[in-house]
Amino acid sequence: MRLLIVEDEPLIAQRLERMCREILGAALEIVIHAARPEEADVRLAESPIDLMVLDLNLEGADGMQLLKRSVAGSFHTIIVSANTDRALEAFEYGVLDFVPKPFTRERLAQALDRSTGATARTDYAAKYLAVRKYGRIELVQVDDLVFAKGAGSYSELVLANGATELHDKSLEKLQALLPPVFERIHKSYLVRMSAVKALHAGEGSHYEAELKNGTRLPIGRTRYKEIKEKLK
Amino acid sequence: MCSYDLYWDGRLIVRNGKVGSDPASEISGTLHSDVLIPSELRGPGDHVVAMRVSSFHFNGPRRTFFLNLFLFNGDQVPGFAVTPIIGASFEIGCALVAAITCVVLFFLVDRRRPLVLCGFFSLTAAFYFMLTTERWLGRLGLQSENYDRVYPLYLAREALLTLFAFLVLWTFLEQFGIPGKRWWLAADGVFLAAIWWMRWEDFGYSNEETLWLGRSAFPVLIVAAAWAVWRRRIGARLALGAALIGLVSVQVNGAMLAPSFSIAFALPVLALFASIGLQVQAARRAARAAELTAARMEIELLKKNLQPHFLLNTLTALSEVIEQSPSSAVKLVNDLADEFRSLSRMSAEKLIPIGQELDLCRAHLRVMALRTGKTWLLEAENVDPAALVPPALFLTLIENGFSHQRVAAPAAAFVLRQESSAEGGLSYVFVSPGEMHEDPVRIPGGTGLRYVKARLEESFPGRWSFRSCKTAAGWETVIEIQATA
Repeated sequence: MRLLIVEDEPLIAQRLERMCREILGAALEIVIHAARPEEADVRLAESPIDLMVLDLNLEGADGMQLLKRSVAGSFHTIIVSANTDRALEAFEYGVLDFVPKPFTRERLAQALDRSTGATARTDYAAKYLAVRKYGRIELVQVDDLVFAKGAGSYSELVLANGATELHDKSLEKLQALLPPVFERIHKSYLVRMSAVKALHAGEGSHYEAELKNGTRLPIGRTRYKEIKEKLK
Repeated sequence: MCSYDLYWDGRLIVRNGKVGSDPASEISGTLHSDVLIPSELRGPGDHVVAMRVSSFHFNGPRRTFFLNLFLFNGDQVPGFAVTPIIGASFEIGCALVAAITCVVLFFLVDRRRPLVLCGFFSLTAAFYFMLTTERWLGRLGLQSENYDRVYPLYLAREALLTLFAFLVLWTFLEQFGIPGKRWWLAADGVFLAAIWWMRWEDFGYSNEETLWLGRSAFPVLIVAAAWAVWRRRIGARLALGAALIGLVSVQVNGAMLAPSFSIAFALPVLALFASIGLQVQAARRAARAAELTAARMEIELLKKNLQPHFLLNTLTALSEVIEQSPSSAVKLVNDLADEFRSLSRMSAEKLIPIGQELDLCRAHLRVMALRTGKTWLLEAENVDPAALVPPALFLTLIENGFSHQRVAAPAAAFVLRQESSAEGGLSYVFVSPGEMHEDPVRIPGGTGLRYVKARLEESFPGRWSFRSCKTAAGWETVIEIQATA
């Protein structure tokens, strides 16, 4: 795992790095440190990462801008901040976890667990997904999302109005952020269950889900039973 | 006329003074005299009244003869003789009560100059009414002016009225803070003198002069009150209304004992009391608002350092220090305690000596030094440690420095320099080191600066200035405090 710590106070940065190393052990390949979010942008351009631990002063418009920029990335973002009153808002924008300061090793371990997929879902689901469009960050309402299609390291979001947007996160990472109404029906599809109209079983264990808008999506063979149960 | 002999059907029935052919041989009688006609001379039919008169002792600018004869039943006091006295007595009472009220309000409620002036003009009015009444007392057979005194008393009365007009204007000027007071009063003085000069020949012969004085006094009051209304002075509308009604009253009936004159006198007093009341009320409201501001400032101050960002980040750093170096942790705890102790000590104060403020700032810098891993200094140049400043004034500027500036070097110093400015004022130049963040959305004058400005206004209302700009050394803030006038 490649980790970027964005924290301007050296003592706290040291603490974060030390604890991450202890928790992740050998899984942690590299730790990059940045004192300011602008510096983080430079580091990100240099090399890809899997997880960003961000100290973010969420007061004011700049804080929210930075938050949107970081959650639009392909990596997960964990906020470590003293502004706990803005935590819910941060979750809405799609952060994986919000660790309030001061923090313990246990609390940090819990957040890191989520990033490695050990505990899949976050406590609070995202309300928006940040997508990069023409070099800008735009927010897509999760309520508008019908399904997401995995496309390698990124995903394609299909919205209720038929539009599609590209999101930098993989389907796995997206699933960790989205509310439980989205089900993984196939290794490449994450679908809003309420949008499914019917399930069809074809020849040779070929299963399909028919959505209300007429789209047909494949269902993984191993997942069919579970999906059928959930639709009842 | 000064003296007369009155004959009824050829018989001398009364002598008022001694009729003479020159001032030496004439002895003046009284202004009023009631003559009882002997019963044997009364009766239906025609009667002949003859009078020998002389008026050498009437000491006015021109000699006159006035004669008013009223026939009435001698057993009863006539109504026309009593009515003016009742009215005037009532007015004397009112004017004296107003004067006493002014004294009481002055000593017990608020020591305002308008109250003193109002007391004086009420007293003037009381004397005016007393002199007016005295002249009518003769009607009741109680006392009557000797004719020698008639003219001087007239003059005294009109002088009181003139003084009244002058004092009411002065009171208005004081009450509504109208600028150019001396010019107003000088102009009014010239104006009133001009009326005396123009009416001099007639003074003492009719009630016209009262009317003229009223006519001259009220328009001036109207102009003054209208100015006060325009400048939204408290209670000015009442004063304007009173002056307008006053003018109408003297126009309708300028007689010195007419009820209209009493109204003209009473209304400015009432308007004045009302506007003083309104001003006291406004002042009390302002005082309460100031108290609330002070309370809010105290809370602001405590909130500043109890804000989660500062405290929680410090605690996070502390957790790390505890694990790495327990002795440094104890030092950090002590520094933090120092800062909070200073803050709680000064939180209820409006002003504190700069020495205390510097201690607070340095405690904060020690905490920040541990947190940031840099050395932070605060250099005080030419600073008088006893000079008073609002609490956490410079601490706020330091905090702003930490949130909006970046220092690359391992050590940096904040600089506070005290300078004395012209006219005995003071200025503080505060330099916060480092480059400003290139933060396009940063709002200038955030909560920190609002606190600083509110505190300055609280302690130095209207005589401080705040400006800041970028310099080679960092960010420079200049706070100027002018000396009290």
